[in-house]
Amino acid sequence: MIKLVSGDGAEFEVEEEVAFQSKIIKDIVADADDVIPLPTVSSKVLIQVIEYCRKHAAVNSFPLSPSSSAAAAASSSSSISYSKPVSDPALRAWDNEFVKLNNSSLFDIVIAANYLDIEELVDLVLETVADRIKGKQAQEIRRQFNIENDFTPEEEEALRRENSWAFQNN
Amino acid sequence: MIYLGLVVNKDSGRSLYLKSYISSSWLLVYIARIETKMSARDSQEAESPSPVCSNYLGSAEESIPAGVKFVRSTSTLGRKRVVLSKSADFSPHCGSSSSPKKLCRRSTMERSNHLEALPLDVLVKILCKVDHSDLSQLLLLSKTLSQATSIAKEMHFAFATPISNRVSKEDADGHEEEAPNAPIRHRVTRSRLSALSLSSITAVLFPSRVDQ
Repeated sequence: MIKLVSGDGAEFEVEEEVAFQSKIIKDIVADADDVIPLPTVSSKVLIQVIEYCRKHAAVNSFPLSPSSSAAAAASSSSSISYSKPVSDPALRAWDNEFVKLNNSSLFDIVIAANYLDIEELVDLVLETVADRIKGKQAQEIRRQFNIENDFTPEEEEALRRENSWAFQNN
Repeated sequence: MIYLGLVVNKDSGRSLYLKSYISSSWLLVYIARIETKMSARDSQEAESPSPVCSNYLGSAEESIPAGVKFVRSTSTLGRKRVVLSKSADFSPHCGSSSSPKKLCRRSTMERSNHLEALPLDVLVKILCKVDHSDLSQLLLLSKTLSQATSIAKEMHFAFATPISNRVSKEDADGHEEEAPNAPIRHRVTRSRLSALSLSSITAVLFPSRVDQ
């Protein structure tokens, strides 16, 4: 068992295979003890992250078929398995439910997952944020993410001129 | 000859600037941190800092750059900073005194705005996952996002194939678009072989070891 301590001092005990989905924790455990302080991660976010890791650890340790376990072994051994799609449809459905969060909670997880270096979770949340941006007009995106337009009209015009490649279709 | 002038900046209220002119307006500028046990009242008088400063001017030519500044500390007055500079050099210092305020305001603004508060590398990673057609809108959002979009463009989109508009249109509408100058098709050509009849003529050419 590994003990994780969140930024607000709460302690969480998790199994190794759950915690080791985070490469950072894996590295820390390799050369330090089993109590790992995570000062930048709040309890709320850590609970969500552990929930995700538990689910994925459970699915990965009880694979459906020998071929998928071989694939999992191959992906865990190779460091470059970027944007590997989650193969199990049930797990994918679970992931889709997991990311049904408001923007700020999602960004908290983005930061935590990025910090803890949990590749699959980073991919999942980044993909989700990107999906919320895709196919929208600038005004819509500004409203959704509470972004202030800090360009003057002249700057905006210059920007349009410089990046005419991007505005050819409009 | 060293001439020391003491200027009390009424606007900032906090700092005393010491201007030093050395003969023929040659300017020597130092920042020095001076350990002094003077009280606040003492420090306002021109006489008491001057021995300290001349000491620094005399000794520390090679040492410390750019003006010396007196900052009255609110508590024990253990340490003071003395600024020695020409009046022309004042403006950058004054400017820098206002910058912390700006930073504070910016950080509070960013706290309410979570997308821009994300680290730039994460932001770029997110933007790498959108489509080419979204870039034009992202560029116009704000300065931070515009910068991130430019980076994403250089890193990712310059090497990625855009999703063709035609393909996406076809998917949405569900019907094919006619190619220009295409020959007219009178009937839909279809294979006359049905799947059923094919299965009767197929044979396993390379039986695998498992089957044996």
